[in-house]
Amino acid sequence: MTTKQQLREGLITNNPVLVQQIGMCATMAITTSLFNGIGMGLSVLIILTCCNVVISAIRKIIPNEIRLAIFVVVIAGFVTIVDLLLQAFVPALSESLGVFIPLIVVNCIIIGRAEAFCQHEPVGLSFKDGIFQGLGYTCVLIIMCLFREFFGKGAFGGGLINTVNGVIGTGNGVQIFPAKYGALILTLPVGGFMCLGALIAVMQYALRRSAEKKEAQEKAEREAADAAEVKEAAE
Amino acid sequence: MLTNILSISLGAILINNFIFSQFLGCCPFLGCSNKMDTAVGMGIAVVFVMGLASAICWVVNEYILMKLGLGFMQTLTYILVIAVLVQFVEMFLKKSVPSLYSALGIYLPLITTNCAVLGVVLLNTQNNYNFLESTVYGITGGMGFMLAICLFASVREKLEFADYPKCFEGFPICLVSAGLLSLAFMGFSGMKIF
Amino acid sequence: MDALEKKKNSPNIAKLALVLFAVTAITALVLGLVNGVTKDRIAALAVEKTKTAYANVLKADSYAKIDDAYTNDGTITKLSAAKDASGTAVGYVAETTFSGAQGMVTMVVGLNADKACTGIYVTKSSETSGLGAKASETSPGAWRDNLVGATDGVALAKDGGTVEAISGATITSRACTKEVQTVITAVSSLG
Repeated sequence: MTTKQQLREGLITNNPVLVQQIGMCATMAITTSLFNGIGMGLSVLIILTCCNVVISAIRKIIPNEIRLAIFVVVIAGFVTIVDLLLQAFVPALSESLGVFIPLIVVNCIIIGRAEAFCQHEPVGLSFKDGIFQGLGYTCVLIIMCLFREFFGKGAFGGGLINTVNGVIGTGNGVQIFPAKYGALILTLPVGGFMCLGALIAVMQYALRRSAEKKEAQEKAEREAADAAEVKEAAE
Repeated sequence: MLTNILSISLGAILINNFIFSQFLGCCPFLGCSNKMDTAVGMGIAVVFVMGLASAICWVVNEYILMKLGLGFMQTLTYILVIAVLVQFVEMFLKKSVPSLYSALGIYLPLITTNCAVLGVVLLNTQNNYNFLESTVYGITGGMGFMLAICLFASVREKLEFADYPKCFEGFPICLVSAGLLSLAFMGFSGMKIF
Repeated sequence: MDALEKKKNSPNIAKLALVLFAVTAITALVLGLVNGVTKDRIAALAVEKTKTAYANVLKADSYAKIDDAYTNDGTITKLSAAKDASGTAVGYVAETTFSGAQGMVTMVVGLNADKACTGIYVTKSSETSGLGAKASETSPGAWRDNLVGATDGVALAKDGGTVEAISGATITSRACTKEVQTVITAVSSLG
């Protein structure tokens, strides 16, 4: 599997949230500001990559019966490390994500990749898989944040742009149009459910259209090849 | 004391429902709710596991982790306790209620990765609840989960006959319906009778 | 045949337990290391956060925790007397946790020596952004300025008092105002 194929898979065709449809809890809960989205996405990317590398490295010596327990222990270890580092160096992110940082332990994406991929693949491929799946996840988070913030509050870049006293994580970003014209409901849990539903629907539509196009193209090629054969036989 | 317990219970079931307000436990909520029987079974199992996990993890935290200053080991310890607990629940169900065991199938070991179980234990620690409050929060949180999943199962059974755009097939239409249910539950916010 | 299989499986269980224990032990060791590196910084950040909150509501040179009994409906987690450099009391600072519209709100309330409110500072809340979250705003002219100078008997205009609620966020406004009243009652009960 080439790098380009893996990248395409991670971002589009095998996107963890939109196609595999796992890891949705955090996606809906924390996408209320761009700071949260990027912070969570990067945290998951780092944890996913580290766990992929470690699990792939020890895959030959893990006994099959307790492999899930060992995955969970390794993942919990990395999550705690990232949690402690965030509390010490980016406390604003730790506070706004709250209980969802330790909950990365049970994020289906990480356990799912460990079970489906890293158990069988070498370290190099697992490393790239971690980065690309993490990228796909981060992209979905960013899209949802941009949508919910813009249409919900009329803002952009909450927590990253226009911060209070330069402290990252504060402030409401650039106000593009007055907040009172926004659909406040999008910043509430309802908005999370609906945005994600709409995004997955768009992705399913796009994938189906591209699959239909590909099928139509192959059919046309086959017919052209058959026609050419018939023509050759007639001559 | 009693009013505190009652207000925690009401909060967990209606006002801050684990699924509709706090988004904890969405994966089994969406995955297990195609039929009412599976939903009810899953709900009961989750209530049981959440209550027990809250109680046991509180004890472990109070008498082992805190005494030894090992606060940072909380996540690791809690998830191990939950994994062992689910294993025991699985063995117990297999022996005593085999029909429920076969109905739940693969979803029973998946309770380990249920955000709601680990979430409720972490929230207990964050809110500094005592033993009784933690256990009540665990049990009533599970009841809130069960209420949500059963409501949703009945909605999904009707969805099969609905006429929606093809690209919404599968999860998207479920998520939109869940969003509408979440909107309904918003009506409980700020409620305070205890 | 069964006995042979059993014999093959039993040393396996010991091996499984050993591997699991080894992995857990290594993880715990690494975690301990990271914790050692970060815990001082985390503790310092927490102390600084409380100091910033206290200074925001009532500037003083020292804050001494009050251990005497006072009327507390369960929401006041810590009451301290604020003193200036010479030791004279300039007021009181209370840390409170109460339920708002969308969950628990943690707030610091400051009172001067005449038991009038000097300000509130919301340290932790999950209120609705754009509505209840307005109570957390600290810019000049924010809603919390309405509570500065409030004395015993403070309430929302809807409840017979003089404080205007945040439009669309009655529950949060009522909860914050009630909390200020609770702190005033507590300090009055100290005598």
